[in-house]
Amino acid sequence: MRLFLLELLPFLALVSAIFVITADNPILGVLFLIGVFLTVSGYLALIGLTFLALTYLIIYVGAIAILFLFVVMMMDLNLLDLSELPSVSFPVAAILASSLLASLISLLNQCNIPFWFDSLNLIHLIPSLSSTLSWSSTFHLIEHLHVLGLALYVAFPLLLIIVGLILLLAIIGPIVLCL
Amino acid sequence: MNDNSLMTNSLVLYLLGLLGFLINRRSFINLLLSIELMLLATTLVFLESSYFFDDLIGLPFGLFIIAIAAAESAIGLGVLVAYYRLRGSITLEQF
Amino acid sequence: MVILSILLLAAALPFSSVFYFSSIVINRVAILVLLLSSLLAFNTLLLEPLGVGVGIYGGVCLVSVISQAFDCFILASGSLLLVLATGILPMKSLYYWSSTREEITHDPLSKLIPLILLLSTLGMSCLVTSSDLVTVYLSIELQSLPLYILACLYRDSEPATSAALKYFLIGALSSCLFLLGSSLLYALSGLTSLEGVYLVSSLGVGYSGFLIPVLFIGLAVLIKLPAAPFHYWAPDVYDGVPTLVTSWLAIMPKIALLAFLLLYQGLSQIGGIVVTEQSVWGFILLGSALLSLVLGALLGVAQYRIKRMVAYSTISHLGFLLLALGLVTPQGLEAYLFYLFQYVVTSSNLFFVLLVYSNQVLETWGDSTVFLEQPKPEKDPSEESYWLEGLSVMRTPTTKPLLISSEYNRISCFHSNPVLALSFAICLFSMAGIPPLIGFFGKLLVLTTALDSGYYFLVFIAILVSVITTGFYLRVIRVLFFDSIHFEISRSTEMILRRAVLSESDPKPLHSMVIATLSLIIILFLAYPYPSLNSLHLIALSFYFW
Repeated sequence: MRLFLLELLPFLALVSAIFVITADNPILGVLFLIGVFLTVSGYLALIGLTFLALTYLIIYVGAIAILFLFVVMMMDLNLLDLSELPSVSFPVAAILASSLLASLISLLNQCNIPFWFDSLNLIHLIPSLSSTLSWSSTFHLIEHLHVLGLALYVAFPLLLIIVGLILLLAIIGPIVLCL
Repeated sequence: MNDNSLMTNSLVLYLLGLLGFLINRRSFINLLLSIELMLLATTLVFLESSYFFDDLIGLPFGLFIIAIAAAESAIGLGVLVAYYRLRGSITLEQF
Repeated sequence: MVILSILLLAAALPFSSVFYFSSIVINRVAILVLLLSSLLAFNTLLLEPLGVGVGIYGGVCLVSVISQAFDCFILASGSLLLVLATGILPMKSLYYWSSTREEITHDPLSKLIPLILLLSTLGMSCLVTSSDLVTVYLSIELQSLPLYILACLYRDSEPATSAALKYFLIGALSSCLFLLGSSLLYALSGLTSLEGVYLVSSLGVGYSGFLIPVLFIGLAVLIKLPAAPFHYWAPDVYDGVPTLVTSWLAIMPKIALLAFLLLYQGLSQIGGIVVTEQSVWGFILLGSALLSLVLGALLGVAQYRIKRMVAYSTISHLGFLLLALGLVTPQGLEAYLFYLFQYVVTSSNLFFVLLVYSNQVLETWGDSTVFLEQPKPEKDPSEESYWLEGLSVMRTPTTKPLLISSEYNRISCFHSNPVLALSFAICLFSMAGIPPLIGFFGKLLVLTTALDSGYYFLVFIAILVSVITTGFYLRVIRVLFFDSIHFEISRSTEMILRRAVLSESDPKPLHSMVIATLSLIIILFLAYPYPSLNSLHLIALSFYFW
């Protein structure tokens, strides 16, 4: 059952992503985006990243998508206006995307992902790598959330501050722009 | 568990976002949605690979990307509202 | 770096809550803060262990001599450009010409400008010190998100908002590309620290899979700089937004992103990179340099609006910079640093002069609106354009008036303010690379090092291109000095304009001081070039040989 869900959920996510980019109506697009987020968070919860799954639910579905919906409904859009589709650049985009996809997949197939963790003893050569490895061995008994908090507040405090500033900016910005 | 297939899934998600960004001529909202898709896909790549590596760096990075996606969409919507207020439409004919 | 960020934070945060200071006071405080932190960065430049680079904050930042130098430089030029913002008239006074000084000093929006700019500067100074993909991404976002807001700040003007929208879309797309690259890099290597990635790739696992992610990241940065194949957004955006914002957009992110490109490449040097990767990336840099040179010059010739012209000339300057960056030698690095220095000095001088001109036009408008023959009804703020007998003088009343290059004819500029026109001409000559000025030495250094490395074709193209760009700079100068009035401006209006310009629209003292200093630097560089050249030489050497 779990394996089946693990296969099913990404597929559903892809399908609803296709609907997102082909939807004529922005509201439908936002709704399908919510669908993508729901499936993705379910998938994350299945592989064990529960906190991030909840974050997805709260931030994306609860905040961003609702923000989108508010804005879309606030602007009284003329849907007839939007319905025609001059897809001039469609072939170009399709060629570009397919070539990119092929190269990326070949890139991924080229290597088995944890490719040197066993074969090469690089751990002593790379300081950051060794530190992370010792971390994961130290903390493997501790919960997911705990580890994440430690990483945020102990390892990357500067980054946390920067993100805080960016969020401050995201508060100021719309106030300035839409006051 | 074949992790390559999962990674491929999220890359396809990214490419769908990119495709949506490129072929979209209808409205700015759809462009923003495509950007959100791309951000989601890269976050997924980070989370999955950190899961498979049993590594810690990917998780905070994913969290940061989520936060920044929120900030970016807020600012983008702000710009969009300012634009809409002047033009009365959000189609991309002018570009 | 610690002190810098704390200082900037402490300076930035109260601004949002303090609303009873006048905007000018806040602006001056911001300028002082930037100068002070630039001095601090300059001080730390002298520390001994910085030579090899010190990782701080658990390795997410790497402080070295070159990053400190860039830090110092960014902060100093940020404070310089903030001086521009002191003279700016807030939006309200642009709608209603009768606004008093009270309104000007209490406009909340003009108070927010320093805050936004400070945040953006903080992002830039983080960017040059960052050595980890997470930090790089976050600081790129921190430096570009304020710029989107800034571009849209004059939210009642149609070109500004549409330019801001375009800027936002391009910026978001390129940061998505950056994220794709970094996530692939992480998926392939399990590392996010740049140094670790390069170390692994240099260990010679025979692994070329890093190539694509590394290229994605580089392309994302090239999109953000408007380097050539991706430059289409730049002229529209630079033209649409107000001149003040244009000056910031055209100079500051460029310094930071170029510094990041340098470090990005430099780390690859340290790691002794896989051969194919280096050559592909160098090839892309040189190709982009070639394209930017050619396209910037050729398209710039066809422009009539001066800010579009400036945008294209910026692109061609970027071509020179990328050329110097693409030759991976210490001399190339030195030329690169020097070119960057002279580019920033010259173009900030250019923007100062442009802004003073637009202020002049604005003030004359303020005087003469009474006499306008057929203004559009009621000076509606959202009105798209003013019409002075069919001649659109300012596209919008709410942005800073956008100068049309042939519009200089209106008041033959040389006679109204000879010194200002002279310094404008000096700027343009220096950008064109006329010998005794500073721009000539920049081009000279770049071209000679390129010749030494054997890129004959590129040098040939670059020389051709600089001749072409001289052509369009000279056109502006001709308009500036020699053209007489050939618009059908009614006699009375013209007299009013002339009187107003002659009598009372002198530039603000601070502005004129800055313009004078920068022009003197540009001219007198020849007399005493050793300190700057030597210090740049030392920085370049330290980057390569420490």
